[in-house]
Amino acid sequence: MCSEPGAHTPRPSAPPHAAAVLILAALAAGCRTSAAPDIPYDLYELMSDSDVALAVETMQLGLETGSDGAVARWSNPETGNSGAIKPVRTYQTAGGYFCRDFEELLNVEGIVRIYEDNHACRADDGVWRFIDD
Amino acid sequence: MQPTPAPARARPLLAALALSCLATAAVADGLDSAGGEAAAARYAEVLDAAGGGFQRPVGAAVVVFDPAETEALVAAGWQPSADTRGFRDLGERVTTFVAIAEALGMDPAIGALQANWGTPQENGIAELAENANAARYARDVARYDIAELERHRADALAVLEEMQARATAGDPAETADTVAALEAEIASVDARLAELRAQEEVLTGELAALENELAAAMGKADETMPVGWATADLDVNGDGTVDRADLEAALDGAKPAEGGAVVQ
Repeated sequence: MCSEPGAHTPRPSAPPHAAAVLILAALAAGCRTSAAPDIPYDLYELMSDSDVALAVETMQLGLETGSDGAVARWSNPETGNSGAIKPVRTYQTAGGYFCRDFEELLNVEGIVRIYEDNHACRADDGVWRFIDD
Repeated sequence: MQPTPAPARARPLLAALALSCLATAAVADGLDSAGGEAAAARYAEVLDAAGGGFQRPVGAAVVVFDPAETEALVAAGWQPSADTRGFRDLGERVTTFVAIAEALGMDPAIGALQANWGTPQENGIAELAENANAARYARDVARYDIAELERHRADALAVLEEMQARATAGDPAETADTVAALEAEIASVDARLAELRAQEEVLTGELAALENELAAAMGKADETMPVGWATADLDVNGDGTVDRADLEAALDGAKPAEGGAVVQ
């Protein structure tokens, strides 16, 4: 698990040691956490325009064609940054729009962070756009 | 801030680590949850450049799709095989159907699902159910007539036996006409009974076939819809289609003719 430990709200039912094991496993795998105070919380600010373009393209592809749980990835050779999105829930709203909740992983400048609470709906033009809760 | 490119040989490793992290995150929740807003702002420049957007309020979630339903939607390019005639687009159809379901006191998800995958009328379920109901009614009428005739025959037979007893005890000539009339009547009833029993047998067979066909149609519909939702009737005005007129009727307090379900 590669996120700021302070921002982590453990699942209530999970034994405390399980979360610790996961963190240790992630650290052992080389994931860098954002525990250090100089690491920004919002990696989106650090992304280059080309990163954003790739991330948006991957988000569109992943949400348009991916099953729930399927991971779509991007990697930018120009910056060395990478990311992935994973749809986790698909639903339809009263307005008739298809929407998906998805997780996004960003690996920017060697900092890896996962953003869980993303929501996007397929607009009338077929573009998946973020929506609020 | 100028990003520092990672060494080329390190990229696959980073990608692998990133994905292993994502897999880990699938197990442990509670990670950053404020990303959506930041991502929306950062990505908006690209997304907004595409123009378009939402032409009506997005609204709250009314139906959550299971993985199989999601697969079907992905495979269909997010264009389910619904007939959108009479509506501007699928979205307007969904909105209307959801509103009808809500006005009828049903789960709004029923409206959303039928808007996506067809109403009982569109799937042929309503017609099959109507035919099955008609066959069931005809069979029940035949059974009622059989029961009535059997009762009548039993009455006639009792009278006949009484007449025959009188004839034996008294003057046969006195009862002969009555006995003959009763025997003729019983013969007539027997003929009619035979006819009705044959009819009842045919109707029972037809009903069984229709019920099988109906079950198959419902099962087919249930491949993409939760069981039972395929049969809910949103055709409030009974004209064979679900449209805005049904919403207006539902909002006026009308109900579908058969209490909200086409299958009895």
